[in-house]
Amino acid sequence: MSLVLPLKNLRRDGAGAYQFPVWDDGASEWVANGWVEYAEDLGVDTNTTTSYVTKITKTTSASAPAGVYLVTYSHSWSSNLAASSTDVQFRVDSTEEYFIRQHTVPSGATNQPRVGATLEFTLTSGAHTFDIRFRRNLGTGWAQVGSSTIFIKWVRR
Amino acid sequence: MTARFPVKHLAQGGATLDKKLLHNGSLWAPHGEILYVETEGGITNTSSVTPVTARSLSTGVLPAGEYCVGWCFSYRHSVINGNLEVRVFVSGGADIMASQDFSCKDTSVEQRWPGMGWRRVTLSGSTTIIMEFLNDGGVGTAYMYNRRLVVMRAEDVSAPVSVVAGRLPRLKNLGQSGALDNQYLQWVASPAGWFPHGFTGEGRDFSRSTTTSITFQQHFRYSTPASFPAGAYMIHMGFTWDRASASGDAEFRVQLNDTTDIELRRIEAPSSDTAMRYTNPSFRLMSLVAGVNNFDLDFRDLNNFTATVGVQSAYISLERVGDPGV
Repeated sequence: MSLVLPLKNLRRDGAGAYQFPVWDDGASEWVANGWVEYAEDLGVDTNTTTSYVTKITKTTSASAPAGVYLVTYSHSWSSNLAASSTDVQFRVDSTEEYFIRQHTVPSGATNQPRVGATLEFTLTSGAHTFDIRFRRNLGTGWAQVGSSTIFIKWVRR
Repeated sequence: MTARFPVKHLAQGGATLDKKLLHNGSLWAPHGEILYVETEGGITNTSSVTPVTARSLSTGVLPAGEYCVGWCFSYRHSVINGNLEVRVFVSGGADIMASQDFSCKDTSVEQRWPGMGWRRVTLSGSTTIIMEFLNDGGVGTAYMYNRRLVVMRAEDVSAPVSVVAGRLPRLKNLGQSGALDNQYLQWVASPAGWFPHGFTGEGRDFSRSTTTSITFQQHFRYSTPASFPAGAYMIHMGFTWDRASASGDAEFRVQLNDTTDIELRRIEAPSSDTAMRYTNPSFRLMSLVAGVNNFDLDFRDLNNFTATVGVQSAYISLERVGDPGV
């Protein structure tokens, strides 16, 4: 089934770097944009402590509109001892949203499995900060996080 | 290349206005062609230290632009602590994911360990994306399953036209970019590079569930609304897990409508520490029917009542990427 959408309902929303075409039928508004933000860090960072260090951060513009955002991130990770583990957090505005804690496999190897997630977030207008940070947990040795990416896409008002 | 797109062909798909789809009566994906390949359940293996292709994706003539490239797979190895090395790259070009080692501690043939990643890259013209792997160290055999590659257009790289504040995009600026099998609906000015997209939805349950049973237990169900439009969807799924024993396996599945396994993973925990949060993400493109679709994350302990399996931080995200049949 297809319904003709009145063209008069097409308008632009947002400001500055965050301007999007939206379809407005009077009751709902559809966002009609693509990827809006991306960040990557392809280096490998090592943390020998149990305190978190930041691997990658992406902050959206102060003119970012309110709405639902679809965020995809990925990263590699490693640790060098079976007796220690790597904690990795993906956060929005310094609030922990997704957390993993993994032993390296096999024991003593420096392999770097790559993982990630795609999550929806409902955000207020204005700047928001997405980051990935990590630490060593348990035992001794080190934890690593390698090449990391973050996509941020506004998908719905 | 940009061709005019007849405005009269713009339409809304779906039964109610919350269905977000723009199309021209053909099969254009709303936000740009999604190029996707998979080999489900198939096995590619090698005992060699020389790279072999696990999966490749060849495009038509892509318009120059920024593209989102995703890859995922599962794997096992015939030797305890054996490694396979995986690389994703543009044929004749740069790495998308430089070589990385993956290994697993158990050698049973049912083991399925996860790998997944995303990256934005600049592409143009005919392009082949290759996922290759080798048996690092040359001992035993490395296996890959469920290899999936996706390329979706993210941004135009043509110079944007200056934006006049407060002025609506002009309808004549709505255009078609690309040719033949790689056509995109986009705004060609004010500014360039906008792409419409379709329905998105997500189910999420970050609470913790446990079981010791060999019978699958449901951690959570995500049901699409009755007004859900049929179409091709990118399904993003993942969870974290743990098991109170370092021997024996846990098994996890994402099941559609209580019948179809769209993901099945069996893994031996590296540790008996239940504070662990092993992650298991993947994605898959599938055609879904209109209305209610039930997605379940189920899990079980394969050594009945010998250890507690925990699941938490689970999500299933849907993103409409095309009409049915795409």
